[in-house]
Amino acid sequence: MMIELRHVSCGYGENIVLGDITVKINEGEFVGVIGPNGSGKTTLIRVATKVIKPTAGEVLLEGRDLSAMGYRQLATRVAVVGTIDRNMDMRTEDLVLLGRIPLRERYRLLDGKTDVDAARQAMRVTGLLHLKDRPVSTLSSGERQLAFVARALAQEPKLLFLDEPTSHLDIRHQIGLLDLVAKLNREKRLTIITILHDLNLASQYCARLLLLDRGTLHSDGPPESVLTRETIEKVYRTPVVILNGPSSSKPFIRPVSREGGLESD
Amino acid sequence: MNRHGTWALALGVLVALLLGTCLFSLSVGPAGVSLFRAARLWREGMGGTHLSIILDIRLPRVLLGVAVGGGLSLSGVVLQGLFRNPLVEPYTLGVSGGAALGVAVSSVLGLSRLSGPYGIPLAGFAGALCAIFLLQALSSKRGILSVQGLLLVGVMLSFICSSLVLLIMSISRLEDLHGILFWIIGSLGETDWFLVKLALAAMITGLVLSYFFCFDLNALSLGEEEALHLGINVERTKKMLFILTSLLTGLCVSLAGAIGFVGLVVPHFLRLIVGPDHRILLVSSFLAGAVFLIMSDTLARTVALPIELPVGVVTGIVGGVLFIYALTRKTRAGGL
Repeated sequence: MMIELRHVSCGYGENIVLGDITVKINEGEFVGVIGPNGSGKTTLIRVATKVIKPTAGEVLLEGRDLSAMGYRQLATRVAVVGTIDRNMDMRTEDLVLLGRIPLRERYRLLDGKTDVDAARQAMRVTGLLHLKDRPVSTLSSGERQLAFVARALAQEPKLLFLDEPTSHLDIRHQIGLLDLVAKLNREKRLTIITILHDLNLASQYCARLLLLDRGTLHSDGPPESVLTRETIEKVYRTPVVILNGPSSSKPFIRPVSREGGLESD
Repeated sequence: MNRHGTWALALGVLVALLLGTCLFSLSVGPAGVSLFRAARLWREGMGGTHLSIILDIRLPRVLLGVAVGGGLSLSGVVLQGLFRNPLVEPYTLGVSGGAALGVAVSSVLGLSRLSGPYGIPLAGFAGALCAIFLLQALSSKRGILSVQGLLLVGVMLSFICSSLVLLIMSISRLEDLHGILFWIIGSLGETDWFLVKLALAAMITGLVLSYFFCFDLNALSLGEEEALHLGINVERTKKMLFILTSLLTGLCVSLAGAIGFVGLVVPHFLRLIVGPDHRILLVSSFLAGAVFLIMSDTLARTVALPIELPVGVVTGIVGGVLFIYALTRKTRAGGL
């Protein structure tokens, strides 16, 4: 068992965003989290990584209650690639080296060989080694996203969360990034939990999908059982057509345009 | 050159610069006594007055400059790292204003006369601490410090404090007025050795303590949530560093008055020169802050002889102009 949520509810102040979520994710799974805007996808990641505390229920990481774990301890097991738009003037290698913070010897001020090697290795895996001296602010969106993946890999996590890693990327970088994540999942048994907006990418890459609808877990299962026309139309309130893709058995979702635009509710 | 080499170079240059500035400042002044002449006379067994001018008047001033310049600049760089906002510094957070109010109140009530030579610094320190606790209480929601809240409340607190100081000044007697005014303008003229040593020891301790948080500050440059994911206990770090910088600035302000801009300008320039890594930024800001304040003070003492200008005026003018220059240059190069 990698991570387990037991009847977790959480939110911000009085505003409850997630209600009574129960889900178990095993080591080595590749899980996609989908759902309309505001359905609680990012909040799910935040409660699973101790950014916010559950108001009810508990989160267990490798069988241990998250609330009893220190942040540093957590950071040696779990890494997160969030949505970042901060303008940074640090070098790419320095950004990746930040991922070593939870692992480095506590009172060692300068970078040790282990840290530099781990950072280089993470940059090699993500194909960024040739950009190591470039300031992050000069990288393209695709390269920047890869740099944040490299930083997360330098943390040597067992569980990797990604929050919409493919937004703002062109198709080449979308596929490149998800192929990389899939390879890490396959070869290193890195557990992946990623939020994806693109249902077809989710269908193609994830072995299991969690569909959130207004803060509740609507369905949980392989893409074939989650991505049905009835479910998608109900949750997203948009008519779709499901096609069976020519290159795979995974469902392909095509939204259908309606005259007069989206129905307001 | 690798990164550690660059850091060593920057550190070497700054230490040399600080030593040079200190020696220069020791050898210029209205009395016209130079360090070399004093040293020569001393070897010949004479020059007691020369030596005493250097050791009793200029040396404490230079050492206080190191402490206050370093401390204000260190506080600035830590607060800016903590809140990821280049405008946060002791002055904009109202800490200086609170200290000024403390001094004004105690002068009018005659408390500073009762408690002897340490009265004014004590009152300033108390005022600074009050401002800080008020600031923290007003800008935190459910125990979480928010950046915008902090800045807004800080600026407002500054305004309120300066208005209250003006109110007190307008109704106080002439002899109190001079004391308050002199203090508000800011000066490194404190010659009490105990206070100078205390300040120096406190600032160096502060510098050492800040290094326990240098990786926390580096992680925070990505944002609070990211820092949390890197294993940083963000709320604890924020509280500890806020208390640390508050104590340091409280002490600086209570000894040297409201000297502005050091904590704003120096870290800004150092970030451009040595980069955003706090492992080098903390110590180099401390050293550069010391250099900047001692230079400003030397300028203030000598530029308009026989009048001594208030050092806060010099740091304000020089620092402000440099800051605007740097900002506008950066804007032209493509955004702030």
